[in-house]
Amino acid sequence: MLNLWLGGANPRGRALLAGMLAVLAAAPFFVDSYIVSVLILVFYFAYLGQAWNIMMGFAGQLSLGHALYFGLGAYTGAALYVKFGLSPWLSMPVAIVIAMAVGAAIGALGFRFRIGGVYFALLTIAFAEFTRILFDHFTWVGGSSGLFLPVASRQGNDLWMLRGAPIMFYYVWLVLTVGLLILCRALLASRLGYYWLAIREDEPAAQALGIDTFRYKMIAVMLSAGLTAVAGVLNAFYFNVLFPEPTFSINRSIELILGAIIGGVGTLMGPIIGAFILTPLGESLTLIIEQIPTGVQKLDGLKQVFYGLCVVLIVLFQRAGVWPWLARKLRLGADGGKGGA
Amino acid sequence: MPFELYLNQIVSGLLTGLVYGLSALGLSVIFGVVKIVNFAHGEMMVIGMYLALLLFRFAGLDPLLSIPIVALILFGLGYALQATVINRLIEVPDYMQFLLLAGIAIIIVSLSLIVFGPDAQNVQLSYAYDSVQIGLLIIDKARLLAGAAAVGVAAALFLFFEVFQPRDDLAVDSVGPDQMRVRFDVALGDTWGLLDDRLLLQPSLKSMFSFGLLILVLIFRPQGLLGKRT
Amino acid sequence: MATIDNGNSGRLGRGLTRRNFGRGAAAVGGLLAAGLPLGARAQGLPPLKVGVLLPRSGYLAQIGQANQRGADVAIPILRELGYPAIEMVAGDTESSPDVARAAAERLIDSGVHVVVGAFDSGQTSAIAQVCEQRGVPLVINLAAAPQITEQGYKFVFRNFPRSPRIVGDAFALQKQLFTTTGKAPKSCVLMHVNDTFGTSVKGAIEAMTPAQNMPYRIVESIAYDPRARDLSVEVAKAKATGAEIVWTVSRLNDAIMITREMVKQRWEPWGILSSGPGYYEDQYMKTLGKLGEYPISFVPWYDPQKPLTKRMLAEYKRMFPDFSADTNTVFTLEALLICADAYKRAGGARPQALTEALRATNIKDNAAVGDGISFDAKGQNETVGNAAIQNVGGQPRVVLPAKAADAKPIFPVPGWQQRG
Repeated sequence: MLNLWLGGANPRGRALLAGMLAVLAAAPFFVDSYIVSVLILVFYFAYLGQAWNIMMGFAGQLSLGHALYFGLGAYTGAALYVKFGLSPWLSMPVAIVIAMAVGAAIGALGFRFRIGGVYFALLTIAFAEFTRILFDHFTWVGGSSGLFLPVASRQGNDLWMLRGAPIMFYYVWLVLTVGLLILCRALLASRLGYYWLAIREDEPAAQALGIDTFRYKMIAVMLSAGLTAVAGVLNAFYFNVLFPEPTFSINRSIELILGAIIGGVGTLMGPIIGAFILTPLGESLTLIIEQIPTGVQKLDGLKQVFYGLCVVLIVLFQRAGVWPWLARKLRLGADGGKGGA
Repeated sequence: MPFELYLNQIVSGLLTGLVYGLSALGLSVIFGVVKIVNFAHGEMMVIGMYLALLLFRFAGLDPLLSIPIVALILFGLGYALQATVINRLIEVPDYMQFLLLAGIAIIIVSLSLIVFGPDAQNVQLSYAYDSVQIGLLIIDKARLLAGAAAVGVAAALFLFFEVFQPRDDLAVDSVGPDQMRVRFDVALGDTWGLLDDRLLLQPSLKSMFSFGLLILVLIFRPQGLLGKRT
Repeated sequence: MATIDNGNSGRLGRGLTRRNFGRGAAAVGGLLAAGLPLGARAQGLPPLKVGVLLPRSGYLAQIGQANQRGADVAIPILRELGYPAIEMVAGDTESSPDVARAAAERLIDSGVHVVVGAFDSGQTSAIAQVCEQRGVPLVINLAAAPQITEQGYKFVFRNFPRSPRIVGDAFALQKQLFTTTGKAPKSCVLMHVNDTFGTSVKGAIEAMTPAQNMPYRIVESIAYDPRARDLSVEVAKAKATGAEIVWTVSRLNDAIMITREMVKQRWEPWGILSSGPGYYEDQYMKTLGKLGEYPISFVPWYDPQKPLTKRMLAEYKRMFPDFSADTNTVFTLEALLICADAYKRAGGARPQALTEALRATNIKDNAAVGDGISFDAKGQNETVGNAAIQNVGGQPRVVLPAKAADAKPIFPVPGWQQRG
């Protein structure tokens, strides 16, 4: 198994990856809580970036509305816990099924009516926004007043109910992120992965070869949606409060794919590397800007200016994303995602 | 009572729709010609609004009269952006263009927060609260003016396409003038915003602008509008 | 389980309150009498590090920065009053719970003894969880969602009324308004923004109306999207009800849009009553000029008759001549006052001692309308009062309760055309 998913990397790459994993596994014992909370955000973005990457990077279908699946997961997990005391691990399958069903509906609409490229992306946005407004009025889960999960304080860590300290969430996120990396590697190496890449590169040609493109695009959308919903459940239990506006907003949809694009769409490590660049970049900018003495007049917004500037520069100078460039620089060998192209 | 209500709403809705329609036209011109969805369109409109605001504050210029100036400045900005950044992206995938423009949008919004602060800015115009009463109908005067201006600019735009008949192979080269036309709408949209005094320049509203414009492009697909490509 | 938990903390809270009541009262009394000498003694303590977390950029930037000005103005005032020095570590939540959470961790790691924030209920919840995990007290300046103090938190304190209290007071103040002016409207239309704040206030209004025996009937309630760019339909619908008063639950933008549409549609009810921000804000009056006169807001507010308020208003005018103080200022200032006061009584910044001192808070000489500052077992100050604020001469004036008033209420209000 290990060999399978490390197959694309050379020994140097494997060593580096193993080293990184070891460092991350040990990190909470050496760094302060702030770093742990930032790393949780990094895993969160790395996981979601990977989930989105299955749809966009592997199968070539652009979604700008992934907040929809995230939010459906979050609300399913939270509602089942608040109303029926259900463990998040039990509500996860429910959340996955719901998100997959909705993903299937959107995919079917888009693919059957041949709404392609940018138009398909707009369709996904429209659905996410629609659902946001729907949940604003869905009073069973709090409507726009929000859904609060009861927080039992200082009672140790309960992994089954996901009640506990950030460190517990750190490891859950770490395991999920690595697990998804393994899954993605397996997918890419499978027949399914080759079909996806064929569709991504040239859909008419793929169809001419006899690939049922509709079917495989649907699988990508549903898989991506289901995996995204898992992150939603986990996030709901980490934050313990949900409001429709931030949960389903286009901002979240954009936020969760930035890392994947920066890191390298279609690559295995891209979304992870992207998350490791963007979140620390934002936090470092905050720290640097807070050092500027300004007195009463605060420089609010300056951080975002530099953040936006960095994003623009990366796009202009690393069009394929940072990971392919980094992999070359570090002589890590071919990345699985590009291998199939 | 309901009849009066519906009548007023239909008229006011139509006038508002004219201005939104024109903004969407601007987006679709860009998309139709260079195949780029301008995710920062709403934010660029915001620059136009602030320019109109500055011209009003420091030169006492009525926003309706500052349209040509604002359009010219934004033409310059649009051209510069096109020449330095966007031209390099014509061939990259959709999501890369999207990310770049999203980055530009973040920069514009944050810079406007730093420069102008988070508080709403407004223009006090003598006619800002005027309304015209025709029987049961009460029409907002500012909205009426903006709607009329929208129709005027749209007519000029269609005339331009009639006269020049841009050919497909010229598409990428004609970016400059297209940007200009787009910016006219931009300026106009701003004017409307300023006129009816709801121009509450809070960064929060800008993403909504972008979203509204985007949906409109989906509906009025560029092929449909220009009638050239299928 | 929740009940048992609350019961426990209830006993704990009451015990502490009784035990420390005398000490707290003595400290405050002593401070009032002695002023500077106490200040000199307080200076023996090292500065209290207070993390102030507010949404200073992002979509809440405007109100976040207004809150920040309240914190900025508090520092020199508390120094003059002889409280121990405060070292403020200000952080920006960027209007996002994710950032708020990481920022809270960062401030606590950097050694802040207590956190103040964060205006928005979602971000405040995120911060509250971090504070609770880390055992560092959080003093909420503004945030009205009732759930925040219903979680059984032991380190979270809120000196701001929960939404049911705000609404209950609004009814009481409206009755006083109708009695004072001798004009009782028969019908009322409710307009509210459909977001966290708007729905919780509207829910409370609907739940309480039957028992209130108001002279008016609420003929319709109209909800609108917080992102709306045009409220002409909503205002037209409200106008069509023919209601004598309009009661709005709004924020700034929508307050301006509603007023503007009312002028354009030539609708002149007896008056605009408001529960929430918007109408009393600087921007509202600057934008609308004469048309922004006379709406009455029922909100937690500063009491212009209290000495601390006078000090606050003077200092605010000096530091921020372009803005005027409002509810954001007074509650952020009071949050810092609460921290400084507890620190002084605790005689140190150990979290446990500081938290116990916070729970025993009993400040009489505060700035907001109401009976001073003290916390119940849940960490909630149930004595914060509300006032009726009316815009008169471009200034928000307290018109009710009479004890705090610095102007007389004008109701019904003059029509749009009769304002010069």
